[in-house]
Order: sequence, then structure tokens, then C-alpha cells
Amino acid sequence: MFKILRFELGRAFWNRAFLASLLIGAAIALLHVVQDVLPMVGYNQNFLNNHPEVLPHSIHNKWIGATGYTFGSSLFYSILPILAALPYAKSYAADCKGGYVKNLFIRTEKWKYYVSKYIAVFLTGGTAVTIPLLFNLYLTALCVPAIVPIASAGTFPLFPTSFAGHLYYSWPFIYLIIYFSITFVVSGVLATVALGFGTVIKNQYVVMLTPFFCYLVCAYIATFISCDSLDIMSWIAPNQSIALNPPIAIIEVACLAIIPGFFFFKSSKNEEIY
Amino acid sequence: MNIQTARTDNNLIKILRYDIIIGFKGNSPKYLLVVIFTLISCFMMKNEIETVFQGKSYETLRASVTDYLIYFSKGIPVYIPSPDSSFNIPVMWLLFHATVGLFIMDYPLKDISESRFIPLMQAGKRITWWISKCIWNIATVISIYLLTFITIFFFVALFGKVSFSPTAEICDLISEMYVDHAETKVLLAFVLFIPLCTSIAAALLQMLLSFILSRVYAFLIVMCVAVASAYFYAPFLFFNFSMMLRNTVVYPLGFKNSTAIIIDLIVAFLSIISGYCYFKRLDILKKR
Repeated sequence: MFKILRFELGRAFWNRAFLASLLIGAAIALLHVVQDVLPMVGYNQNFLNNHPEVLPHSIHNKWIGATGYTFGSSLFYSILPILAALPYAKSYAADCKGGYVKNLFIRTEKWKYYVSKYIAVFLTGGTAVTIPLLFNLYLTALCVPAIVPIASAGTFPLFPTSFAGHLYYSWPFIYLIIYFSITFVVSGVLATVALGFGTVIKNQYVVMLTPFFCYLVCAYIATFISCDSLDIMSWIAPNQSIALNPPIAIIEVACLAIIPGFFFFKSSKNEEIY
Repeated sequence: MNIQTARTDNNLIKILRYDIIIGFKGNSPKYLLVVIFTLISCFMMKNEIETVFQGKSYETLRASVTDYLIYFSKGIPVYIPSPDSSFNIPVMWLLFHATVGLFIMDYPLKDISESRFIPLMQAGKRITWWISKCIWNIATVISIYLLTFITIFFFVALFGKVSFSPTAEICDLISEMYVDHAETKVLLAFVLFIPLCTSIAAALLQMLLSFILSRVYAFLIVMCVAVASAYFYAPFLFFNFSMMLRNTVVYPLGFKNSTAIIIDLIVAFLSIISGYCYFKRLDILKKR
């Protein structure tokens, strides 16, 4: 199991698509810093000399995850599923089409390949999204101070009633760790959606875009049934433009993981080599 | 007409017929998606109307074809960035353009990336093949719009009023635009023609990019342009034109239809020309 897992992880993390995904994410993260963080450095210095009573800009209201009104943030969270799926989500469809699975199945047990593939796709999806976010947080931290958010300042994005709002205003870095974990899991799950679709859609490029369409359809259904909490795009950013509702979010992400996962693992039983 | 030109014309018709049949056949399951999305959007609008106009007479609740078309192409008003209001992408609008992108993403490249050289050889000349692909591309986009229109028409026949006159109250409260002053034909000209032109320009640009980069990167770039268009109000971000809330009919500082058509034509024309220049020099065996 570990041998094939190591092999799949190697293929997943050591390819041009993974690098391209990271570069695209990093470019958006950098664009955000240039557009919205760097101008605040001068602002913090000049303004605070004259008005020391004013709260300076903090990383907690300037990094990409906290600014739902900036272009960088809007772009990043709009194309997030494509970034997650780009590195490795099409690999299963490509392996089947190219006949690669035939070679693997005569060397190892089928279930090992399927489990390894699922883990590899999940990890690449999560990593490809989380690393650019960390990169942006790091660059923002180089420019503005890490002042603990103060609710009464009115310049921080979260309401105390938002998910983990009290944590954000008390231990913001713990909040960030929790939110990075949520982002990692959701991005990973979105990437694995492609595996499920890969069992029914033979076109690997279409398969790769299924997470993006699922992401949009979730937002679409949320509008249709007037349940904003279903809109992943709204709550996946740490600024929570729509407050994350844990039970709904867990059910939604579980459905996204279980339904395509079921079809993917079910296909392992039906897959005939010849 | 010399023999050479006649042969090229004949080849173009042959390859075009092939593209239309095979291309449309390959995309046929995706047309079902268009119908489903359109129906969901229609029901969404119907629900909104019933909620907003609760207690009013039944006649008021019946929206016309133009009302539905306006709802479909409304987009979002010009966004003014402010920490108090997060940017929300218009999902229905983005989903529609993403679906158009999905239709034209794959087929044109199949001839050179898979073992299907026959159409390319049958075309005789590269320009014939390229023109055929461009026409197929435009025809596909038109077919998507046509199907959307037909679905809306049938929906309206069942649940609305079969009329092309917009209902001022519905446009005002549901689509958030004041259209009382506008003529029906001007509104129809916009909702039927401008988004179609924008989609054709985007589809041709995507086809060009998919030849230069790859299918997914081309799709990604076009989606980035769409998101940037929703965020920024600028003429070079041509997806702006497909949003009615940014048109001069309802927004005094908005884009004129003529500007939209000119810029869409420029994008489409440049995509066709650059695509041909690129394809003329392309080493197809290496590209595979």
C-alpha cells in the first residue's frame, strides 16, 4: 500500500501542472499584495505619526482571506476549484484512457491503487490552494503588523456571531490555523469530485473542470433554495461574507466527498482490465 | 473561378459539414445541461416573482419572454470596492459563460491532439480547416443561445405570458433595473444580440488560447477575464458588455451597444487572424 501511495504522491506532487497551479495561485497572491497591502505600508507610517490613537491596518484585515472586496481575493476564491483540480484531478481519467491502469493492476491490487489515487488527489488539491494563501499571509505579514483584531474598531471583517468569531477576536492565529485546515479539506474534497466524475466522463479535460462546475452549482442551488450557507464560495474565505454554518457545511462537504467517492470506489470493482 | 479555388470551397463545405455533425454530436449531452440550467433559472425567477408580488393579482405575476431574457443577462451593477460590501460574483451569469466555454473547449483540438488527422488532411489547406473550426465555434455558441431562448419560450408559454413587452414592475423589483423609458426592440436587441456577440468573441479567444497553451489553461484565462470583467468596469474586459445592468439602456454611464459590438468584433477578428497565423506555422506532430 505504502509503495503505491508513495509512487502516486510522487507523480502528484512532482509534475508541471502542480507547479503551474502553485504559480497561478502565487501570482494572484502577489497581485493582491501589490494592489492592496503595499499601499497600506505608507498609510500606516504617515497616518499614525499624526493620529497615534488610530488602529493601524493589520494582517488580519489585509491579507487575501480577509478582504472579500479586493480583486485578488475575488479572483482567487472564484477559481479555487480549478487551482485544486489542476495538478492531479484528471490523472485517473488519463490513466484509464492511456492504459496505464492495466500495467498497474497486474502489479498491485486494485483497491490499493484507488485508495492511493484518492489520497494523492485530495492532498494535491488542498496543497495547491493552501500554499498560495500561506504565501500571501507571509508577504502581508512582511508589510503590516499582526495587531490582534478589535471588534469595536469596525475595520475587521468578522462579526462576533460568525463561525469562530470569538476565536478570531481573541486568538486570531488559532482562527487562521482552523480556517486553513477548512480550506485544505474543502479544496481537497473539491479536487476528488473529479475522480467520481472520471468514472462516467471519459474526457479528462471535462473531468478536470467538474469541481469548478460543482462549486458554481452549489452557489446556484443556494440562491435557488434561498439557503446562503450552501454557497461554498461565500464561506470558504476566512472573512466569511456569509457566515459558515458548521452543520450545513459539514453535510455539504460530506456529500461532495461521499457521492463521487462512492462512484469512484465502486468503479474499482467493476473496472475490467481487458 | 479557377480549379484550385473551387476545390478549396468544396473542401470547406465538406469539412464544415463534418465539424457540424461530429462536433454537435459530441456536445449533445452538454445541451441537456443548458436546458436544465435554464429551467432552474426560470423557476428561480418565477419563485422570486411570487415572493415579491405576494398578494397581488395573478396577471401581475406573469412575466414575459423579455422579462426572463433580461433576468438572464442582467449580471451585476458596477462594483465599487468597499470593505463594507464583499464582491459577489453573479453565479448564474458566470455559470452560463463557463458552460459556453465547456462546449468549445475540446472539439477543435481533437483533430491535432488525438489520432484524428483525417479531417485535417481532408481540408487540404490549413486555412480551410481553421475557418471551418471558427464557423463551428460560432455555430455552437449560437446554438446554445438558441436553445436557451427556446427553453425560455416554452417555460413562458406554460407559466408566463407569451409576449415580448417587458413588465416594468418585474424588471424594477426582480432584475433591479428601470426599463420603462426603453423601447421593447432596443431591449430585445440587447438581450438577444450583445451577450451573443460577447460569447462568440470569448469562444474564439478561448479556441485560440487552447491552441497556444492548453484547453484547461485557456478555459482558466477566459474565466479570469470574466471575473475581472464583473469586478472592474472597463471596455477591454469585454464580458462587461454581456451584463445588461452595465448597458447604457439602464445605466446612464454604461456601455453603448455600438461600443460593445465594435470591441467584440475586434476580439473575434484578432482571435481568428492570430489563430490562423499561429496554426499556419504550427508543427502538428510536435504539438501532439
